[in-house]
Amino acid sequence: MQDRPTADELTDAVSQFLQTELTPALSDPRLRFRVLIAANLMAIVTRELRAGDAPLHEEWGNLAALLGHEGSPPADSAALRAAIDALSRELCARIRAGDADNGPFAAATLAYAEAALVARLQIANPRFLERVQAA
Amino acid sequence: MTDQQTLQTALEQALTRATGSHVWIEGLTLIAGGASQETWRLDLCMDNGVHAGAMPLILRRPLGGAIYGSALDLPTEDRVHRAAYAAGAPVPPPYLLIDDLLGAPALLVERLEGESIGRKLVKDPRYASARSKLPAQMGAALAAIHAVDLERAELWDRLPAPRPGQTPAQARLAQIEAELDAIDEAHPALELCLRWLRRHEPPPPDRPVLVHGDFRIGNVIVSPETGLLGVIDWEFAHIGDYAEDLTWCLIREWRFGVDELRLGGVGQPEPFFEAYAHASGRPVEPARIAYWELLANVWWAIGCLNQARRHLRGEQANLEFVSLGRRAAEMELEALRLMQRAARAIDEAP
Repeated sequence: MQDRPTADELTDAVSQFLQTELTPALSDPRLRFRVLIAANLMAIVTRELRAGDAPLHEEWGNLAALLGHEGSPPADSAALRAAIDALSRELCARIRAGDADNGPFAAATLAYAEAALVARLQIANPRFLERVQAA
Repeated sequence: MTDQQTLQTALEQALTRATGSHVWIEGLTLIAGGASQETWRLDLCMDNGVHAGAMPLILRRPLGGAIYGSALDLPTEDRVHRAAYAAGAPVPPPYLLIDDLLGAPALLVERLEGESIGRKLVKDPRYASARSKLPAQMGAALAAIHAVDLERAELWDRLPAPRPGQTPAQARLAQIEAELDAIDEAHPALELCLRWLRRHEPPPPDRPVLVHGDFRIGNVIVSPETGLLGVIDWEFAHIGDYAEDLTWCLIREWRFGVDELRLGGVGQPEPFFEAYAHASGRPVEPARIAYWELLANVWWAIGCLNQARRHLRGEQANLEFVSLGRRAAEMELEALRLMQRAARAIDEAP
């Protein structure tokens, strides 16, 4: 185990540095824009590290329930990601085949897809989520 | 990025050949590294003849790679731009297409002195008066673009178009499916939208038209006093459904933070639609608009995913491109909501 700072404390510190110290010192607007993007990407990584595997477990659980799969999720996080990818591809194939056109599976699929995007945006852009949910 | 001095020398040689006069260039400055092209500003100076003096120009060069596979090459883009100009649409006057400038074609057009940066156009108080004019001006401009005679401009065989028997919407959906398959990732929300779009296609338009393909705030040059000066960036022009250009400019991204003004952060869509309907004689029905607004958002989500892949595949290292991969979820959520709204619009249609 590494000493502190933890990974998320490091990315958070980099994000703060880019935003509060570096950006104001730059005169080239195009470079400033890119540094702000970099700061934002560091903030995304920070939130993702802090959330850990919890969102992955939730997504796996929702997908397995939607598709009617039983069993338990892989414990290892790489295997969990691979399992989510496989289940998502299965869902996509079923949508293309017309399984989610009508009826209860259509409603459940829509609810799943929306919840999965909200979960992604809680990491990727919580401010956007606030904006659209307030509207 | 191209070295400024190398470009200047090559450009002076090419322009001396093209004009037959002694010319030189002043003020050559890179103003935008676009997604797939770089844009420079310059003044072309001549010391004799009827054109003596300085002519303000814009130069565009391809960088290789594009957001969408269907982007035009520069000579075709030049032909489209000239056709729109000849039809009286507000566009910068074309100047010269150079076939080979440092190994790639380059396009020169006259420089309109105005602002195209979306963030400034939606927020800067200097543009308040222009903002009130833009919806009607954009509607009229679009009607002029859509009135281009594709036959006479010899564009039929040169632009991406629906295959025989295929409607413009079907052509777009086929492209979406092909792009999604090429991205090779699971995006259930986009699949849901794609499926819905396939099952709810509105009646095809009276005839396909010249679609600008990237018509929005950010691609119009605006004067603080008079509003719209010109429509730029024709690389995504194609033959398609008029409603496509009417809805691309409504995408949340192109409101530059002013979310409540659905037409590009400058106004509401209604005066824009009215001006378009008045000038073009085409109906702007809510159900058709809702359908194409959804399609536009799906297409933009694909654009974001593609941009990120250009970086991830090592084709073009670019922080902004790669960041779009994590932003696609925004467009997907927006699309899901628009899908539900479009479903209601169809239910409510007379």
